[in-house]
Amino acid sequence: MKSDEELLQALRDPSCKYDAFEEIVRRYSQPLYLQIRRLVQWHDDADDVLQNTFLKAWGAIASFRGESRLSTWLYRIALNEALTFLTRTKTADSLDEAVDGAARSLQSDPYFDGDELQARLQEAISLLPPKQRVVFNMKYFDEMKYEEMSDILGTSVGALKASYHLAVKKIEAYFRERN
Amino acid sequence: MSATIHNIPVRPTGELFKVPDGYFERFTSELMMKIKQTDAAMQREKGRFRAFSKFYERLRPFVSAAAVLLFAVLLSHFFYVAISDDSGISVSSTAVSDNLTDSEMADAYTYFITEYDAFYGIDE
Repeated sequence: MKSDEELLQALRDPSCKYDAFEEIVRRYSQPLYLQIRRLVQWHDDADDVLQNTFLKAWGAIASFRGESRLSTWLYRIALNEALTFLTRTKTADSLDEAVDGAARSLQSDPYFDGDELQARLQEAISLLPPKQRVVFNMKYFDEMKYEEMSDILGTSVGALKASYHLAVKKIEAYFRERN
Repeated sequence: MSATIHNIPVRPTGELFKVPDGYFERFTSELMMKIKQTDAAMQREKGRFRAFSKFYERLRPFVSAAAVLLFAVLLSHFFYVAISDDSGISVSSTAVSDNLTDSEMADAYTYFITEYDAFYGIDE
């Protein structure tokens, strides 16, 4: 199996650039999909965001200088795309509709494998502002270090800690209100 | 690893979200097809633009010469008009005067005199 560096090298060769990018897509589509899916929650939305992520990456791969790891770079594009999507849909949907729909529909979603409690957690997460949602997912589910998150999101560690703390407080309040 | 939020163990042990069967294989092949199609379309556009640029490069000396010629014609016309009459309106047009008969010119002159007298209130 080729390393990321070898794949990036191959991307510069017009005769094998498509094969190299296909290998990158195969390698990273699954982890990126899961990150995106946790943020946008629905398969169709995650599919769109993932496609946009790779299309953006393909368009910008020539300018990728290798200052960060390929996975970090792709992760950053995916998060930006997901954030753009969330911001756009948040302004389009009314908040109440989103809240009422989220947990109920998630449990009936054939591609959701969690129980009622987990569906409720997803509902609580869906109420967070997009940036807090990203921070919460990265910290809570991926157990990522703040330094690593800071590298990906371009936000200071202090701001990330504050953001995570706020997100946890809001989720706690959500469960308190509904118990 | 177990963690709690408000004493509720909610962190899932496995992945919560699933995908349709064969999704990633399909996704990869569809995405690559889309990328290749987009690239091919862009190449075609670039090719068209390059052909036009090449054509224009060949045509440029002629376009420049035509522009210079047009400029010279306009300039000479401007000077011709300016020199012919102080008011800026040329009164001597050989093309027109050549086509007028003597009687037509006499009629035009009479008409002019009549209008002139009428305007300034000059009685005959």
